[in-house]
Amino acid sequence: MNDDFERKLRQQPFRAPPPDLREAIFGRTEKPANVIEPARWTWRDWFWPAPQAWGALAALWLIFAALTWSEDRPASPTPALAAPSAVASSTLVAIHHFHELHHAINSLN
Amino acid sequence: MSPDLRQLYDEHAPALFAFLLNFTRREEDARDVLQELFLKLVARPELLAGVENLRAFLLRLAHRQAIDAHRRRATQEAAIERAAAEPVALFVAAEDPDEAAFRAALAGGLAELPAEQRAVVHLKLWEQMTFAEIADALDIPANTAASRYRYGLDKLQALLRPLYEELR
Repeated sequence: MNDDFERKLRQQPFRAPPPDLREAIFGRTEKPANVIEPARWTWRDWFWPAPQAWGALAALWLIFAALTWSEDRPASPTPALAAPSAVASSTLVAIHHFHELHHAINSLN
Repeated sequence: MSPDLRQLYDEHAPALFAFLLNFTRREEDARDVLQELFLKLVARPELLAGVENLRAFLLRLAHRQAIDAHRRRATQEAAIERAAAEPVALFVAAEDPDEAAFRAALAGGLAELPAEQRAVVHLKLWEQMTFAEIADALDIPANTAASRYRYGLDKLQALLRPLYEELR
């Protein structure tokens, strides 16, 4: 009886795996075609939050650099007393520009 | 993605699912373990390198993962035995009422076996593995596999005999 009984048991067919399981396994391991690669980092990303403000700051630094450069020129025959007042007035202009730019930056934010 | 893994799935997933369904007695668990197993192979295809008997290897992996899954949920034996008490559709539905009754009784009889005995019975009957192969797959001595099979079959026979005799 054992052999017959075992044969009978062997003949019983088990259920198949759920049909969606195959796709659930292999579908999620493949990258979907419409996935967009993240863009490469550029300088634009760094400037993105306030490009005008960064531009203004860069301009300000250029003004200071120009002033510093003009102060360092030794060939000037200007009398010693005249130089400080010229430098002082240009510095005041630069500071005034700085305040204006500062307001502009604040208004952007 | 290696296309061989899809082929591997088509060839072995039905047998693995049947084993897992019978062992865990919960469709959700069988499904989760099978999915986990194949995702593991997708991630680490080198696991299959040098494997001679793929079916035996996959059944061994499935058995281990099913046990791990139950350990994560609760105490292994308690969880499996608790799940075994719940009815599960193990077999394809039969149109013939006698056959349907036999399948239902067989599913009920299998549920009454301890999980590890059920695993041995499944591998012997439906995978037709030798006791040595079963021992390797389940990490047990071959003698233990043989005795578990004998006890399991005797129990099934005792439970199903009236119905079986009637159907003959």
